[in-house]
Amino acid sequence: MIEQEQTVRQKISDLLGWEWTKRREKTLISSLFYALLVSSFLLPAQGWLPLWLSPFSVLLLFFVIFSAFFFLSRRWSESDSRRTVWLLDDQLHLAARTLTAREILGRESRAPTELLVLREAGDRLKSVEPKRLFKRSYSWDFFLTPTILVFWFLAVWFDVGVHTGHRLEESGRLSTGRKLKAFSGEIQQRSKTQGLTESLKVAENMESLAEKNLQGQLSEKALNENLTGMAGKVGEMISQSAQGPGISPTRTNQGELVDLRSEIDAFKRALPVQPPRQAGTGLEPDLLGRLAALPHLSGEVENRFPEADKMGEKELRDFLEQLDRSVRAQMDRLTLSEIQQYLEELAQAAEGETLESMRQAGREAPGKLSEGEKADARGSAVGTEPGSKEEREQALPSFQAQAPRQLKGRLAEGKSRSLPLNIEAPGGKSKVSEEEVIANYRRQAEEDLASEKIPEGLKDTIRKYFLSLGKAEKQK
Amino acid sequence: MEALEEIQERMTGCRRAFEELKAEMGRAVVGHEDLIEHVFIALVCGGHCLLEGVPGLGKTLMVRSLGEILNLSFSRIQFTPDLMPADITGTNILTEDGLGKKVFDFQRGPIFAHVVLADEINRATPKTQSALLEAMQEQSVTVGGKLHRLESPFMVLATQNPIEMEGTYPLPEAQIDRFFFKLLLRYPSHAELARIADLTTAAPSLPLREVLDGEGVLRIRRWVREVPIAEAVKDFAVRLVLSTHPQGENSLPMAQKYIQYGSSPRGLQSLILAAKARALLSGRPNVSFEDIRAVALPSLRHRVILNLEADAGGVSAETVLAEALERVAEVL
Repeated sequence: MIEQEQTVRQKISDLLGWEWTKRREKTLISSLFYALLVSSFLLPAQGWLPLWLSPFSVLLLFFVIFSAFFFLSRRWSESDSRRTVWLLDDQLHLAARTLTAREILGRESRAPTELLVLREAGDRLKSVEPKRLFKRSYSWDFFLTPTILVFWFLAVWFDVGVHTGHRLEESGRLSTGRKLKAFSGEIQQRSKTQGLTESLKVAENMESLAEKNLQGQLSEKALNENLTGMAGKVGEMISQSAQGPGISPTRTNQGELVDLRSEIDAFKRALPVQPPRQAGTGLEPDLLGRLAALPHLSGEVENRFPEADKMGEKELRDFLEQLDRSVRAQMDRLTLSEIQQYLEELAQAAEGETLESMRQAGREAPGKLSEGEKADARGSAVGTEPGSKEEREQALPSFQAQAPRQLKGRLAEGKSRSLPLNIEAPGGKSKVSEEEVIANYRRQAEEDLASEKIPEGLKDTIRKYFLSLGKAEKQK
Repeated sequence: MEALEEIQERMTGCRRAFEELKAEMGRAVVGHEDLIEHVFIALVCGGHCLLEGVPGLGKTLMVRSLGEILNLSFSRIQFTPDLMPADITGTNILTEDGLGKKVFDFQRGPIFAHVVLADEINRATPKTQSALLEAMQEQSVTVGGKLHRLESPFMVLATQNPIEMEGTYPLPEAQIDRFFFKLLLRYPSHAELARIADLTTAAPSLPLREVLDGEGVLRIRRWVREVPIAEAVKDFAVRLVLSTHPQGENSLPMAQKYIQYGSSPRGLQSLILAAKARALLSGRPNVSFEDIRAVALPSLRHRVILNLEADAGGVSAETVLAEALERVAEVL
């Protein structure tokens, strides 16, 4: 009897557990469906919602609300258990044996006929698998959910909705922090790649400030003050650090310095693994040839050692180490300078925006700005009014690290042609010069020559070709 | 406590006895299998049946055959308008004892039998009909201030003719409610009619064999009450009875429209007890929803009092109850 009793207990427990799982799944699907439905209907009104309430947040919020509602309204009850067991009886034609057995299991004393019911129910339920008997059934919302999910994704992707000023204002208010965060991220990445310790520290401080602002712990005003203070400190850091020895003072271009560092690294790899024991023995012709193929490094070596062929390998190694440190320090200095400039511009723009918003609210800030400054703060975009969205976006300097702003090239053979563009080109030289391109290619060729990818017989030919490119450039 | 095997054996014995009874009855009565089943259920539940059908459908034959098969005493009372209560219960008559002294001696009436056939009960006056009340309910009669017990098992099978209403006295509701079942006899089918012709016009067959005695019936009566019923099944029976109440919360629209008075609590008792008996006779240890459905009509049809609108519309109690059986959910 114990065996049949256990069987009945186990099978009923399995059945109820399985049905409960199915109920939970259905509830979650229903919740997702209705959350998607409501979120889709709310998408056009997204513009009126707070900025932090993104479409994903709205969906998540409604999902939680509907889940809570459905889980409460469809919570498992005794009548559900009874109905489930009744279905089992009906399915297996057990004539209410399981229903009766379930009640008998809950009683302390059992009559002989009740024990017989338990035994018969146990025997018949022995081979029953609730999961196989009551398979999952899918309702209409299950089939509609993928469709509405795709619809919702498309709507979010194509930014369907009314874009209100409210959201843009909020977006503008937070843009200082966001831009600062983006800039600090970029600087951190660059500093880590290039080993710029000072820049990295400053970038981390900037990120910390930006995070505080974005989380609402730091007001816009306090952020501006911090930005100004930080710009000052960065300026002091720049003035305190002097240019290191062994580097040409004309090298103030970040790109050139990067190339120089790459050339130093490439040449170091080309040096023999074992350093020579004696100094001043002179360099191998092969090394001299390689050095000549690296224009920035060879220039620096010529500055330091006018007679390079008499220079010993040990002296060269020491010089390379010293040069590497100097280049890194110079890059750090240049990055700090870039940071300082950005911080100053950001603080200035943010202050201008604050005053503009105060002016719009009818609260002028007398004496704070001169007429010229006010004109600057209003912006100069044609056809825009002060205080409009376009103006605020222009007022803040947008950071685009290392992005080329002008393209050079020929469209076809023959005379050069130009394309008129409806954008204002920034002044100054092109960021990517021809020399840099040649140096890049030459450096890459050097790396490939050092490897085994190129056959020995062709290495000299390739080296001569790139040397000829360098000479042609010098002749120009 | 009895061993499970004994219980199982008991169940099997009940089923076998019932199968034998049906087979033996089939030798004398053609068709009416469901009717025979219901009469036997009423017998093992200690109830009485009201049989309704046109003359010549074998009502009397069936009751007499039942008495023979069960080896129980059988009596028949033909109800007529001039029938007196004393003609049923018996009376005290003045006799002389052995010493020559005049004494009243109780002369038992035909009610003193195990199975009593009250033929055309609606032809007797209400006064005479009510003489059956005490016997049916208390299983005793009081004559001259003296109580006389009736032997167990005791069962009254009353018949009434639905088509001849002239000169009849419809049974009062209180008396109708005391009948466990009301059973309707239908006309035999073509094949059944042909077989009736064969049986009644050929040489008489062997007498019916006794398959169960009075003791056996009383034993089954005890076992019927031990059959367990699940709360859900009981709840279904309760909701079914409540659905016949026109003023009830769960009443059906049809019940509200056509029923004047719904079923009494006796209807529920009859429903559950009959379902238990049906389960036992099927060799099943518990009551199922199907048992309730199977005995719902005979248990409730005479307890539902229809209104004039139902009479005018030709709506019968069976129609309303069939609607209730269809609408009321087995499990909520």
